[in-house]
Amino acid sequence: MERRTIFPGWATPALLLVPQMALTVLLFLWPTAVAVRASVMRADPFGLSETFAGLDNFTALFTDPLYLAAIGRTLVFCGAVTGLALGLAVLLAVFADADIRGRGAYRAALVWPYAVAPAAAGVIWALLLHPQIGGVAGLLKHLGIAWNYKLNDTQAMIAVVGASAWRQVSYNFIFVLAGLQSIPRTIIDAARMDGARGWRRFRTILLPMLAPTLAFLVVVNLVYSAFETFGTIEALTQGGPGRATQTLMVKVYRDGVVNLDLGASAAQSVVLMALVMGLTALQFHFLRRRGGR
Amino acid sequence: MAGLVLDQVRKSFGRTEVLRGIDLDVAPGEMVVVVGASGCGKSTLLRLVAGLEQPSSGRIMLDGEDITARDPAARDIAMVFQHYALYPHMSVFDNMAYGLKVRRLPRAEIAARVEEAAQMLHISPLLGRKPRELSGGQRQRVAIGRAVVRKPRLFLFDEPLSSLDARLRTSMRAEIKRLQRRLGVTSLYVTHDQHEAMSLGDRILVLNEGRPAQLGPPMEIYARPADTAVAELIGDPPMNLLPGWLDANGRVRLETGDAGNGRSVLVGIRPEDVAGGRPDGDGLALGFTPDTVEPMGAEVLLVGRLETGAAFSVRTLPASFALGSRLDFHCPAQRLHLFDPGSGQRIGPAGPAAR
Ligand SMILES: Nc1ncnc2c1ncn2[C@@H]1O[C@H](COP(=O)(O)OP(=O)(O)OP(=O)(O)O)[C@@H](O)[C@H]1O
Ligand SMILES: [Mg+2]
Repeated sequence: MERRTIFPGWATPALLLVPQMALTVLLFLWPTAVAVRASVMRADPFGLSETFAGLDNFTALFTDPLYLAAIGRTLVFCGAVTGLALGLAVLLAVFADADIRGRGAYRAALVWPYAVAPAAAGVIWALLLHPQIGGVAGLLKHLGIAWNYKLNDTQAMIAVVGASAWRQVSYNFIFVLAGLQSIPRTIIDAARMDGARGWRRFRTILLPMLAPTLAFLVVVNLVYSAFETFGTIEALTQGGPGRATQTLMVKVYRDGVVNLDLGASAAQSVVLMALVMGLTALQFHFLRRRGGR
Repeated sequence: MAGLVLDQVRKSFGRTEVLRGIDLDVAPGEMVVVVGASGCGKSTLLRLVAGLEQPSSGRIMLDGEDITARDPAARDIAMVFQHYALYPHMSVFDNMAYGLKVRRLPRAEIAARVEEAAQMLHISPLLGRKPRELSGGQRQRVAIGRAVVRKPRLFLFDEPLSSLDARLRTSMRAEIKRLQRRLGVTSLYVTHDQHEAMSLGDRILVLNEGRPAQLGPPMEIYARPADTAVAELIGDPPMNLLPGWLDANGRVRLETGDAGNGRSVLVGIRPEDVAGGRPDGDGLALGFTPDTVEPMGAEVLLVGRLETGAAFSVRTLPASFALGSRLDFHCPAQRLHLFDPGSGQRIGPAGPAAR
């Protein structure tokens, strides 16, 4: 049941709303406004003078080959992280769903990585993957692979994708497992009676019934990989070597905070903001669909 | 050819033994109905035969082959589930075709079989719909169709009609019976509805706490229940069971008191075997005080107490009964059932003769 309290007049409700509104304005609307304003201004490097630049910053952005390359790179990165994190999660969840010994411990172990902060994950992986002292590097060297993600572009991408996906696997795992467990057992029994086994049963019965969950997770993972992996990438490669792992988010930081090109950086932020809004809308759409079933 | 044979099948989940040694022999083309109270292991028995669960011990043979260890996919058995268990993301056609596609039948053959079954079950116009767009009765038809198209060696039904309303249940019951006869497929049918069991089964297997209590044709089970559990389960309204004793002359007494040199027994009297008036010959006199009347249509059910104080019910033709006053009824001797009060086993008589 819904509990409602009706206050007379408007003063009390307004007063009660003030803290929330103040926080929203202070922490969200104001910075957003500043960013939007900055994106249409040209500032000198010392921040002493500004001139109105119209959409110049945006035009410059979308004609900048470096920016376009970053978009492509980000797409590859997000696609890889989402695919890897979801694929692994589905695989692990299928096993966790089966009647196997010690699945309680197995499930708990899979949830742990989610408790690790992105930057900490970056540091952990930086140590593990370190070309000289890292355990993974040692192992790969043993197998005859020269591992140095600090020099090799592809290896750098693999490293940031792996480290970013690693953490997200736990999150996905929880959802996929819940999704699998909400599939009625008798439907799976019916499929068994119909003679479907293994991969075929998974592809034709389980996967379609998981589809709403997966659609929701794809959006969540895209948002995560685009906007929340900054800490991981910064800790591992700082976007390097060269620009090999410079995603849009990292580029905003490089251009704005490090290189102090505020106009360009602000324009990039505005683009990212629009993207977040779009993805969030999509996410709510899937959430509603999931809830409605 | 030996249809389905169960040989001392047992099943335990952890420490609870659910099935305690089931022997059963279903002839080819025969329909055996398994009845029993809730939780007695009916579904478990079906799941063992289906291969969805492994027996703890015992053997399951189908057409002479030992299938105990086989995967469900390799058993050629089709099952209809209690709550339909249709694939929600597939159309009716695909639901029915799925098992055939998995078995890699040619497309044309699949379409032909599905259409034939759809016609048989009157669901041809629904083939393009999704399960959520169907009524309960239609869903159950699809579920039956999914089993039929497979042309399996054995049908398993797990309370397929229990989620339908009473009228639909009766008509579907007749339809299932017709279909099963027509296809001649050996069937095992689980229900806890005794009417369903009586009308569908060539034979009935009554389960009681994981043990087979009785196996036989419906009328045989009705006429000679093997123990009190069967007696209470089969027959509607259930049989009256009254403490009494068998005196030295072999006469049944309901009066309380010392059995003397007689033997104490449980006397079973079906409500429909009771007639009005005092007994002539060796019938059992019943002084009965009804306190409620339940109309049942052609007949009424009188519920009340005997002189001995025991609860009792009588099924009889409607008339105006004086509620609360003592009436004379009797039961002919050959309609009495006697059970051992300790074990609940039937001790006689061999009758009653066929009615
Ligand atoms: N997978 C399982 N694990 C543990 N116990 C189980 C399992 N499946 C069934 N049981 C137990 O076995 C007993 C018999 O269950 P079953 O489902 O066969 O009963 P049923 O006769 O079909 O009952 P109903 O008429 O209610 O469907 C029950 O006590 C149940 O709790
Ligand atoms: Mg059951």
